Amino acid sequence: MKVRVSLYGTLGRDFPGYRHTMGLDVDIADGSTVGDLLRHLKIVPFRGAAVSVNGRILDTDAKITDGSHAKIFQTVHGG
Amino acid sequence: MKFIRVNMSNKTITVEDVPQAYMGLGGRGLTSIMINAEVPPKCDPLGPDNKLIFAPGLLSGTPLINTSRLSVGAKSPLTGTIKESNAGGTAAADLGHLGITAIIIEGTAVDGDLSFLKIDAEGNASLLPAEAYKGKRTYELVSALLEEHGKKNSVLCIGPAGEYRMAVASIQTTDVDGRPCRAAGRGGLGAVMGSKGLKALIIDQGGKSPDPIADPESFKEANKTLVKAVKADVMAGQVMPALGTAGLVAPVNAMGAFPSYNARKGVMEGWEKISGEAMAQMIQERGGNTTHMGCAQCIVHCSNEFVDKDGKYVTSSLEYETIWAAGGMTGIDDLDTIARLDYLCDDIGVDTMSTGVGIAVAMDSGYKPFGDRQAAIEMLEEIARGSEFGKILGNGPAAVGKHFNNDRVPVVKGQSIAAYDPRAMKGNGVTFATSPMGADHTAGNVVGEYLGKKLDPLGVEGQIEASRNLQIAMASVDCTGLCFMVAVTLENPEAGEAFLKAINAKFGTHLGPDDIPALGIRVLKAEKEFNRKAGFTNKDDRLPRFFYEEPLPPHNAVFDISDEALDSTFDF
Repeated sequence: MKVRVSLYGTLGRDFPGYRHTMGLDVDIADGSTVGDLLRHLKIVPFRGAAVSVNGRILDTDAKITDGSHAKIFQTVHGG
Repeated sequence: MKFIRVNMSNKTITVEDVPQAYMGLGGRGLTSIMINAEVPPKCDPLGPDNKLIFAPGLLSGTPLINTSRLSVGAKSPLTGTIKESNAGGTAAADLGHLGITAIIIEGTAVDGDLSFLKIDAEGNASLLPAEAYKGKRTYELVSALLEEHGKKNSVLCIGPAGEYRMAVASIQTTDVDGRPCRAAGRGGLGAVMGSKGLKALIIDQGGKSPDPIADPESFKEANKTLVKAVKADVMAGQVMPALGTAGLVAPVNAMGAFPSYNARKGVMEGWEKISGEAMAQMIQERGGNTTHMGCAQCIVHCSNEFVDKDGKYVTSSLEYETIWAAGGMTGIDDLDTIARLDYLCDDIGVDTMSTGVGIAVAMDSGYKPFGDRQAAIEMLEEIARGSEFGKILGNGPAAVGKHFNNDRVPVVKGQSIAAYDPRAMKGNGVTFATSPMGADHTAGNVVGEYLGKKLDPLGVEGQIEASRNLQIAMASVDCTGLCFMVAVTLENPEAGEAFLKAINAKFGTHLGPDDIPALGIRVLKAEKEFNRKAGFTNKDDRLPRFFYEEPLPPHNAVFDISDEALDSTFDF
């Protein structure tokens, strides 16, 4: 299935040529979870990643559906 | 360890050893416990009985990283409650280097008198005439003062808004580059300073008489551990240096909790244009600095220098809460306008948050359309002019709402909420409702719990406990002078242990892990007690009605934490 990914914080810097306006189009196996997506992108847990789809932060075992737009952030505790 | 008490009614200065009752206190702990003990709770905040207290944190002026936070305390003219407003910059470290535990400004100005208070390199205090600087904006004032007294001075000052005694007036303080771009913004303490006739506090940076460190070796080791922990931390070591606090624009919009158009929506149209990522790219392309050291002894460098299209300095540092208040709330999706508004707030001397929200309330009332960039700038300029509308806006969002007969005013106890809508981040709503400071995100910000997936932002479960624990933690941290960016790393057990070790090494104490929250609880209790004596009850610990009744898109949630639950927040 196809998932559109937008990367925030410093995460985009690990993907040469990443343009924020374009995002990434990712092909992953049907039934993949948030954790699978992070592993696929090689975003390791210590980067403090939080994944949001449709305005909700998802657990790593939550399933992603075809055509989703996943936004990946890094945890910030305040401003 | 000394207090400098300055009475502005008779222009006397008294230096005293720190009395026993205040020993072991610093920062917010000292300002709040002293106000509760010495300021009549029902007094006029702008009258002679109120006291304006400047207190560096317990560790300010030591070599420990990121400890240059200054607490400024008084009874607030905006909220009528006790107030601690916390600022970065260099002043706290300078006071620490001079062994000054607090400067207490008492009395009131006589016949419109205006003065500077100068603290020299030996820690001697003197009052100097400031009449020639009446009405001066802060950038011009600081530039003149550093010219006259030397670049190696820190300045805390007020602009025209403080002199007008407006309820959103800030106290601006200089950063490491000598610009008045850091602020004790909240609660209108600039108006209290104006009522005392104090235009500026000038502190020599060359002090060499800090209080001793009991165990310097142990202190050094603790510092090393903390440095390592900060560098390894995602927020403090990666996101903050790259984007600063503006890195929050994206996740909070993505979670539908970015109060926009005077809190009518939880996602701002076009927020990508004002995100931290967009800001960093813009600053980089124009040759400004996305990473900048704003405060003494900082290793995080969350500050930035925003420049215009020609690469010319506009403001420092453009922060999340300001981008929200001047952008999200007003519907202005243009970073150049937001940066200009930030600069003007610093220069005129007003809180960016309450002022941005006041402009949004005026727009929501139909005074000007949302998104009108020029109108926002002109409204702000009216504060500097002291016009009729300027006085209304300068007295805060509630005054604006009253003027336009609009009850959609997002304030608690008169102070605006911050950039987290209570309907979509309910723990932040608990903090806004119950903090003794009025709505204040720095009192206990729950956003990290949501991003860290520890708590569902839309659920009811766990919000009271999260807010309570964070309010206790922040009341403790605010005693020490430690900056929030480093405080978040204390969750790492090694860092937490090192911080406790640093405190014990400094004072020769044997405090355990439970003693730190105990200090926070003591401070919160003193603050609550003052408010109770001033006439506040649990009925004041509520959000404005529209948060309970008006669903916030896109989640269409309302604030549904019960009054009984809110009243249990301070059950300790």
